[in-house]
This record gives sequence, structure tokens and C-alpha cells, in this order.
Amino acid sequence: MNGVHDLGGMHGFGPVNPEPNEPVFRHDWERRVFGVAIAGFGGGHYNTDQFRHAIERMGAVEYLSSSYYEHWLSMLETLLIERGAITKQELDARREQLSREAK
Amino acid sequence: MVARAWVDPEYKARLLADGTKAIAELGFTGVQGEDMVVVENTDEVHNVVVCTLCSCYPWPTLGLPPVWYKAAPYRARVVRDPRGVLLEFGTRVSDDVEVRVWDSNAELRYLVLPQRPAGTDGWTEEQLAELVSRDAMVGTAIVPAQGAAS
Amino acid sequence: MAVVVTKDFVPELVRTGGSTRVHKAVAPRFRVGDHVLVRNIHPEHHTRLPRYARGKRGIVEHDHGVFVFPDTSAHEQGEKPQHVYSVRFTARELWGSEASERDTLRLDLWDDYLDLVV
Repeated sequence: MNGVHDLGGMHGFGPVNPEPNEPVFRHDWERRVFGVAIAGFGGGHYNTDQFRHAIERMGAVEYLSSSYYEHWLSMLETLLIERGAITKQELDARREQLSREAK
Repeated sequence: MVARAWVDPEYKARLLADGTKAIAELGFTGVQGEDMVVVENTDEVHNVVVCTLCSCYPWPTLGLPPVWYKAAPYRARVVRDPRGVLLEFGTRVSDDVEVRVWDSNAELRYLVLPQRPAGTDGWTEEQLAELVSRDAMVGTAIVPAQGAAS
Repeated sequence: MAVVVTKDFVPELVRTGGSTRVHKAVAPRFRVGDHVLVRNIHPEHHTRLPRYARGKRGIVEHDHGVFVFPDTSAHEQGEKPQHVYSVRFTARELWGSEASERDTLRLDLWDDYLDLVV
């Protein structure tokens, strides 16, 4: 699809700004998302092409304004619901519960 | 892998002919490294690798990619202005050298074999390996010449 | 059918990975040295054909062999295995006459993304 992920040749993103010696995961939740995503792949919930397409379907503004592992998290939410591993109700309920507990 | 290729011409030949097999000789196999291609820097060609569409990267050999590799600025710009991007990394490629960009849009994963730097005659494989950086294997850096021993 | 991944499953999974190479004899549409024109397609479905290459001319440098086709694989439409080629483009072909006259780019393109330039 002609999504914003198809970045080759675009102008306006500014300097690359490589950071030397960055950590592999900046936050613990990124490590968990990575693990769950690979487990999902290994367990046959989705293939690599479906994985990528789920991220491409995030929407341009969402894609550009979120971090890399937020893309993976979005993929998990999309695919695990679409493929019936969890329901949207379960996800929403858990999100609400966590946000109540965080207060 | 790089140091081995520098000291062992037969390994280097195997590496360039069938990257997957030669890299597996050193024990690196698996997820996001199942189909490997190694491209060699020479006096005529400087290679640099990107995945413009997402973040494809050879995990078994290089680990997980750095943020800059996965972010929009690199992915957007290196295919169109590789020399400008390389300058941000402090790497200047001479005008008489071809910059060859590899966009890993399929399932082949690419590794750059940097040139062995000057000033390393007689070095052991272990000593040479210490000089090789991840960035040199992505193509945004070179392995710098070593000064004369003091 | 999805399976539950347990800890002991993981090292083997990571070690072997999931190559999408298909070990089937599929006839290639192109040979090394062929001049090809990248199709000007704009599918709304998943594709690995970047916009910057569509409608551009290149040369087939290498045949990587047969792989799963992502455009169908992403949509439960089967593997449609076909050849993937390393195709060389000059910087000027992609980015215009102001681009470097020496630099080049390689993309890996499936049979279905290309047409022969006669």
C-alpha cells in the first residue's frame, strides 16, 4: 500500500543523528513486546508479511508520531484481535484495569 | 566474520559466494539471517545497507538494529543522498568511488565486508576483529587505518 | 493453527528462523543481464515494491532464487512462489539528472514486479 512507511526518497525528516552505544531496549516494556511478538510469530499467529502489513495499516500520523516498539505493540493489538487470540473487549477491559491501578 | 575474511582468502571467497553458509560456519544462523548476502567494499565501491520500508537487518550477526537505522531520517534519505548521510557518520567517500545502496526490501539480509585498513600487516584475526564496528558492517563507517606502532 | 510457545521452544526457533525461500522448481521470467522496467502498480494491499522504484528501469544483476510472494502471503492468498532478483538502478534513473552519475542502488524484486524491456 502507498503508506507513509514507504519512506525512500522523502524529504523533511531532518538529520539521522546516530547515537553511539544506545541500549538494545530503552524500556522494559519494549523487551516484553519484542518477546511476545517473536513468540506470536513462532507460534504461528501471523507471518512476517502480515506483521508488516499490520504496522503499515496504523495510519500515517500514528506511525510517524510513535516509537518503533509502539509499532510492534500496535501490530500485536491488531493481529491478535483479528486472528481471534484475544478479543477487543478483553484488551479494553485490561487497559481500563491497568489505568485504574496506576492512579 | 570480517576478520576471518581478511586473513583467510578462501573463507572470504566462500563468504562472497554463499553468505548464509559461510556465516553459519561461524555459528550465526536463524531469525532474520536465514538468507544472507555479503557485499564487499573495494577501492571502486562503497556499500551501504538500509530497509526503507521497515527495519530489516541481519539479527544473528549484528544483533537488533539501532534506533537510527529504523527511524525515518535514515530510511528516507540514504537511498537518495547516501553521501550526505555517510558524512553525518564522519564517513567521506571519494567522488571516484561508487556508492552502492542496498535496500533490503525482500528477505535477503545484507552485510558489508569493509576493507581491511592500512597499517595492520601481520595482525592476528583476534586483533583485527577488535577493529571492526557494527557501523562498518552496515556501511555507514569504514574501519580506519591504523597508525604506525610507537 | 497457532501453538503455544514455551521457553524450551525458543532457542530452536531463534536458531533456525523462518526462511521464506521455497524449494520448488519455478521458472524464472528473467535472466541476469536483462533490462527490466519496474511495474507502475499501486496496490492498496501489502507490497514490498517501494514507490521510488515504480516505473524505473534497471538491470537484473543476480537471481536469488524462489521465495514466497509477500503481496499474497500477507492476505491469506497463498505463497505464489517466484524468483527474486537483485536489480541495479543508477542514481540518476531514480533521482534525476542532478543525482550522482556514479552511484547506484540495488533492490530485490519479485517476478511480479517487473516487465522485460526489449
